[in-house]
Amino acid sequence: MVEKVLIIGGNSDIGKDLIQNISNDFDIVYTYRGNKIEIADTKRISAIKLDLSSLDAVLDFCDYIVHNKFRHIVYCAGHNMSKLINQLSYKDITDDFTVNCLSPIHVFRAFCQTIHDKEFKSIVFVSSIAATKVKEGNAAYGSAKIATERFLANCALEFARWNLRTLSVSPAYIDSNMLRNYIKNHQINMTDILKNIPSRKMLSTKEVANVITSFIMQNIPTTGVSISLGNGEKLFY
Amino acid sequence: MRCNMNSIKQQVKEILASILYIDSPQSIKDSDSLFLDLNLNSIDVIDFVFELNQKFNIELKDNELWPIRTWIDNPNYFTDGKWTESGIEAIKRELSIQEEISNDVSQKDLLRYFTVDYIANRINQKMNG
Repeated sequence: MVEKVLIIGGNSDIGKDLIQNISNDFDIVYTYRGNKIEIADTKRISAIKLDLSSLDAVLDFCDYIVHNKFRHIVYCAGHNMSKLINQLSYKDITDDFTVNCLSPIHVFRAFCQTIHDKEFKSIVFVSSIAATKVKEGNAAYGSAKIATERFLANCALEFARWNLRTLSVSPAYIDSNMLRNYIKNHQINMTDILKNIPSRKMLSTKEVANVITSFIMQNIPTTGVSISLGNGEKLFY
Repeated sequence: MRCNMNSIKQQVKEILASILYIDSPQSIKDSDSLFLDLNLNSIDVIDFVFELNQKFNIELKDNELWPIRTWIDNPNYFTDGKWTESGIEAIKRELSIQEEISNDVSQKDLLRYFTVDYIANRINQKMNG
């Protein structure tokens, strides 16, 4: 029987590359918020619209997870208001925490409820290396991502005997739509970012997707950890 | 599947030995408390219930195996930090306790009744409806 993978945020850069990586090996369900990607609705790939900033919608979606036998879940979605603390509104904080923390935690918990065998299964959470750093404008986003990473590490502990493995992937600068929007909104010069990267190149979304693919395919034997991906940025030190 | 009590106990001990890395299942006594004598922890319990369900082809939940935790939240059974008469009655019935027990008996004290004997009885009840 072909196993099923659920990708939350499948129309994002990383999610899209991941779908391309694994579509020959798994049936895929992905969620999207905006427009569907072109490869949706094929025989083996289906799409579900889901607003991750609505906890009610996510809780309804959790019922769907409980009633479907997914083997792997990848949470690629993110939301970053990137504002200083005294500029953050109630809604900014709520949105950052709902998309980056409460929604993934409910999704992971629902998935854990479906574990009734000891076959290999996995949860991957796409976090961010920036989340682990104290950085201006990063308070809500960073603390929400880190809380989810810790929750996932506890999932690894409590479900290790059922062969659940978890991984948080924390990439540094990625050449993505999210970064391009960030640069545009904050009037940052791309060369200023590249100057901070010793290799003078950013990660590609494909490279991040490749790491997730390797984990799902059991090529990376670890669980309960966060791994940082980057090109030697100063963010790491 | 029909099993006699001795067979159930033997299989329970084998599962416990495998989960807890005990060399010989025979070294486990029927009266051993799983928590107090064998050092079972909360994650072990979930694994234990999983293995019991597989082995005996039953559908037991972890809070069914040891219902004390759910009874604590039931005001008919436990209120103002003490067990009610119904609570005491349920404890004595479910844990097969003959002697009198105090209405302030703690959850920890009750763990000494969470024995192989008790587990075998629960499984037997479940298997025979």
